[in-house]
Amino acid sequence: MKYLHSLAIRVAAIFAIAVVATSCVDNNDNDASDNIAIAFDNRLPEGITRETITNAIVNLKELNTGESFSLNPLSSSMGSVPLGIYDYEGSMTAVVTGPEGETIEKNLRVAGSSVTISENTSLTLNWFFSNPGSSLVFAEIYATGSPNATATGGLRDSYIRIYNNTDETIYADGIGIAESAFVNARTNAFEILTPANDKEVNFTAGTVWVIPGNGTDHPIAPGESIKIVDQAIDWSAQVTGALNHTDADFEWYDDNAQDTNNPSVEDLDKWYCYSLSIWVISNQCNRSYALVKFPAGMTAEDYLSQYHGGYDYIHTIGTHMHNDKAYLIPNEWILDGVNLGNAASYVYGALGKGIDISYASISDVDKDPNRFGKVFRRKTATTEADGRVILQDTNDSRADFELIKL
Amino acid sequence: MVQQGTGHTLGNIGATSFMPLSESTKVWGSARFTTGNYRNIRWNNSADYRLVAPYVFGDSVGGDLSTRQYAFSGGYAGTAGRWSWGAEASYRAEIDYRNRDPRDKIIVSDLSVSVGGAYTLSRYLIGVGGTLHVYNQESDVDFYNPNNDIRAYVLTGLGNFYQRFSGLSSLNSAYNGIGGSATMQLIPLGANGLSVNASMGYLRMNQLLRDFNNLTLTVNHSNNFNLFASYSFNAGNLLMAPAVNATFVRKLGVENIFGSSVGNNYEAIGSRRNYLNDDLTATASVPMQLPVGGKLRLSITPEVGYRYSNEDYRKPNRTLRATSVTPALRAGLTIAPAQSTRIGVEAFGARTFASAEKENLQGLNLKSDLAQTVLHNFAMLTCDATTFGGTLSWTRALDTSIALRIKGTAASTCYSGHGHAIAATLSLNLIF
Repeated sequence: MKYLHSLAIRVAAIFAIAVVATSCVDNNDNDASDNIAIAFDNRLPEGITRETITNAIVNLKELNTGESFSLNPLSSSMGSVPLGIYDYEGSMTAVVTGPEGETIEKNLRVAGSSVTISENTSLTLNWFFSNPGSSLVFAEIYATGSPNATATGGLRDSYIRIYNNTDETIYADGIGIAESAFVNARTNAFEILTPANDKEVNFTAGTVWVIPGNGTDHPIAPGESIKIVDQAIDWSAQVTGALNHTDADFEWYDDNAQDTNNPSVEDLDKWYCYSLSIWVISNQCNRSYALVKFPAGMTAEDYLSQYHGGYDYIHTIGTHMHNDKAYLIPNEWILDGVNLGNAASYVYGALGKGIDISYASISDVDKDPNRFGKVFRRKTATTEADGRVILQDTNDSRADFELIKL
Repeated sequence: MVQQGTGHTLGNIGATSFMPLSESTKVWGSARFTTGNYRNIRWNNSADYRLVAPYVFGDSVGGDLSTRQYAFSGGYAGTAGRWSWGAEASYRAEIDYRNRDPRDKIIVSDLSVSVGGAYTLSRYLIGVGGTLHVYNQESDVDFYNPNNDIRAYVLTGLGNFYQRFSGLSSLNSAYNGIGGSATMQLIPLGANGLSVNASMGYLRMNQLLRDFNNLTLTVNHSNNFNLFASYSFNAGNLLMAPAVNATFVRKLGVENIFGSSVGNNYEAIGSRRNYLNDDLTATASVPMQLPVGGKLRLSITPEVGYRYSNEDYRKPNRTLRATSVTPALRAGLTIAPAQSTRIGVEAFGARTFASAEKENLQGLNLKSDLAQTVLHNFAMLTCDATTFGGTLSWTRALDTSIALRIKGTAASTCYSGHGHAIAATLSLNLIF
């Protein structure tokens, strides 16, 4: 009987230990299943008050789960979302009185990336004016190029297609195509010290090409486009599946032994390029691009003498540095702009938020080896009765572009 | 389940030995090699799906999976007076692979170590035991096609997935599991009496993403409880052993939430217990055995089984709940036509009456392939089924120290409106 009693105690002890080990598992974790309150700190542009605002909304997307939430940032009650890391974008309309006493509606937008929302988060929303609507727009950007014969890299059959999104003929003469000096990647998220390079004021370009002409040499009819290529040759003759660019309207040609010139296709004028040899459009798709309408009469010499944009910056490693290979393009000259990046490394784009509030993503991962052969193509907004396609241009590249495999 | 494929063909060869070292000590051991393939596995790129589910990488393409498995076990037991004790260790290594995109390469290492002791008291043996379980799995998925467009998802149950870590690459994951169980037994020393076996166990399974600096993405807490009790007695020539057996398994899945990454370091900013799966199976049976003449022995086992399954996801709120009742009858006949020969024949039949208690798949795009998989699995769980099968075995002593046994089992299950499944096993044993 003594043995039995002792045995029973030992058995009970073993089971008690197992029960403790089993029952505690559900309580040890910091459970984030419940929503947490979030407050908004709305910073409105000068002249805009809360009383003038209608239709305010902020859309938040949790990046781990992909869940989306819509909240009213001006609501007196706090919103709530699950703990997480969020991208957000928002819009509102402000009704203001014009100088003649007339009523004017102004669109405001806000956007941000990778914001952690945890307990007691107050999300600062820096609203800015947004005026979508362009004349010429980027219709396609094929920066990666087609896969090479061994499918280990991209060919230089890259191209840019520019589209007339209006109902009037537009002349492409003098239109500039600029690539940012800044790289839209986490490793290049430098702190820019030079005020002139504030992206809300000027676009800092590392490359500027300009379409030649005397003002009326290169008309683009409504709904038509022009194709600008790196090398205007038939790439499909070299690699099956590559593109034939012998029908290109222009090519960007660097007078260098590494480049190939098709004399039957007109070359762009090279105003500036940071590269001393040839310019290859970023096939990692992590820079920004702008279509530029320069002031009438501006020459390359004028531009280069007046808009040098060298800048000081603090590198991510903490070092104070300077880059002299850059030129400034005032934001008001920009007809259209697109930030490119990838979801793994994008922090912010080189364009002001009024030009592109987001970015078009080539991949979820950095330097994705599967990115080749994919083109950024602007979505169709509507088709007019005469068949003319109007492309979507809301200055929100994430929404405006789709990634298509050619 | 779609995640476990549409079938398999496996062959194995093994050896088991048992040797008394002395009157009071024994050793035993076994080794087994299994090879073959699983057919058309989809939405799962891991091995041991039941163990690691729902947290697996999955894609809609999948395909056949080849497997090689090596299993070893060994034990040592002894008695001293009224006390008995023993220890056993078992180890399984498994390699699964697929030689076309998506190319799986899965390596499993599964170790269990058990110790136990028993005390003889009156007509009963009272035993307690404990088991330590250490589990590791490396699950890599590669795509050789440079233009791959097969997207793999980090699945979290009931059609949910981590959007952030799903994609076209970076698909290497691992599972680290550790757990244990405790068992208590009451065993009669004679043929008749009460038998009880109660056990409870816990296993914590971490899922790590190798390509994201080994971040721990999910944690699966699996708790299981089992109770078996039977009482055997003679009623004239009839030996009866009414028994109940109940197993309850509760899985609690915790998903970690990560903030912004610095370099490739991901800071966990919180976690949420999102997934729950309760599974209860219970059976009540009355095995009966009756000698019919000197060379025949008849056994009949009427049985009724019950199953309750509840799979629940908090956000978005989704629930799949099903119950089923399965009456079954098993009848067997053992014939000994000669002293050296024994023939066994068994037939069984069962009918499952299943019902869907709750189906809530909030926010799930029912047209997606992933949703169709969830719906298919639930449809299989909630449809009625009829099973028939039989076993035939032939055992012959070739010598005083060697015997040959051939055994074949076949079963056919017809699922109402969802096709049928056929299973067949053939084994050849040389016993010496």
